[in-house]
Amino acid sequence: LFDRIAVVQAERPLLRQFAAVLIAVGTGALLTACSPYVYSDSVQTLNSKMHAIDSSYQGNAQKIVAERQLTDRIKWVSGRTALKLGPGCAIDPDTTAEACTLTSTAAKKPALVAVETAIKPAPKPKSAPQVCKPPPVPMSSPQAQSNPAVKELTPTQLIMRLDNYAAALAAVTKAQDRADFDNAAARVSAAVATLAGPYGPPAKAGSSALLWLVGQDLDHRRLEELRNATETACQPVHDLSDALGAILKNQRGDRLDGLFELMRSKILALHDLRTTPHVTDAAYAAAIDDVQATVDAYETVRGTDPKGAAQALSNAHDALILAVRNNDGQIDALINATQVFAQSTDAMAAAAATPSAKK
Amino acid sequence: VNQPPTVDNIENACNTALAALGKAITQIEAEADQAKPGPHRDQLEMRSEDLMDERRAIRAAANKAILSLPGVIAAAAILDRMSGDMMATAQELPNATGSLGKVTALLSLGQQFNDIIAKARST
Repeated sequence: LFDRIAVVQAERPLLRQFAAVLIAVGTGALLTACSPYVYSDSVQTLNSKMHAIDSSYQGNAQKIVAERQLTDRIKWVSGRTALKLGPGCAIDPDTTAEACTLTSTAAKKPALVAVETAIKPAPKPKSAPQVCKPPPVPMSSPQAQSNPAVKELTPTQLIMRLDNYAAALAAVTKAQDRADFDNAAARVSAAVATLAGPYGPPAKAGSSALLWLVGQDLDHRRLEELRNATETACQPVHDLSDALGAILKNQRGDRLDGLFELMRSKILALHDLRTTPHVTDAAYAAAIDDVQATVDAYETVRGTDPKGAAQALSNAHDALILAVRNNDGQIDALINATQVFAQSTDAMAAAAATPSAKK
Repeated sequence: VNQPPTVDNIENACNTALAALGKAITQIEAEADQAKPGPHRDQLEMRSEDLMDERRAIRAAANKAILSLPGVIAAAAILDRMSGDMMATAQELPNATGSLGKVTALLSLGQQFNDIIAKARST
């Protein structure tokens, strides 16, 4: 027995180290009591149910329109009805709530209202201006311009700046590492749980807390980096989102103008075909379908909202800033906010890269 | 002191010009729809196309003005520089595996202590 005690005394430095571990574990246990990991499952469920209801409503509305078009088409082909573009097919479609439709020149029934798809002119929403703190370096100062030789950007360069920034944010949060860490922590905890003897259970609880502490340290450093980065990027992201929104709106305008011209050309061709002798029903129906396809493409482009997408991007970044600014270690919430921002930049890139409408 | 225009200023000016052209196009095309096929209708259609081209030119000019705004160029430069810095910092941040290694080493000390106590008791 005395030999064993002597061995234990020889291990005193080890004991001191373990005491330090126990202190850390104790602190960790206290912090764990106010664990920052918040999972809002119920909010997510409500959100997904609302999405389901919304898409069901939208789906039915589209089917009603499609069925009405089919009925009209049968009548138009057999009666060689004179057709025209409805008043919703305007050169500046955002000034009317009516949907662009192909209709009979004698039609008296009210045109379909593009309530579900058309962009309603609305005052430009602005995010809370107080989100951005005054930058330490004025934006227009020479220091702020890393490349003063740049006199003009291209839209692609603008999108790339935002995209790279979103990628850098994702790299700092390293969501995958966090998930790996949690998995590894669970494995180590399980391994420690197999400790034999009466000290096993407390050791297990303590090791979980210690792992959590290390995780917090890891997250704290990432949090600091995120905090600095998002605060500095606040105004630049606002400025670039505004610029990008305006440019994408112009791009949408160009496409609508092009489709408008195409619709007019096709409706004139349809008029000619209607009065041409010996045109089969199939050929005439194909010409109607051709016009209808262009009308559909026009309505699709009309339903896009590039300014709204740009504002959503700016708002997502503001939300991220506030989440980081007020965050006390909720790395999961930050990862979510970062992902929302990254998705917004993806949506912007997709909006800019939308292929030409079917003509 | 002349302040550079803002994105909003450029957009508003662009919208005004586009609306004026749009109104003219609508009137010309309404006239073309009523005209019989022939040189007059062709002329109206050509005029409408010219106005459409003018709308495209106005949008292109607006884009150019927005993309060369000093504030936009400076904002892009800040974001560009920051993204590079952040990527570099992300590389330097400790990875989870390294930290886990340290914890495992600490835990092994605890396990050794347990073993020693357990052995001492059993003796």
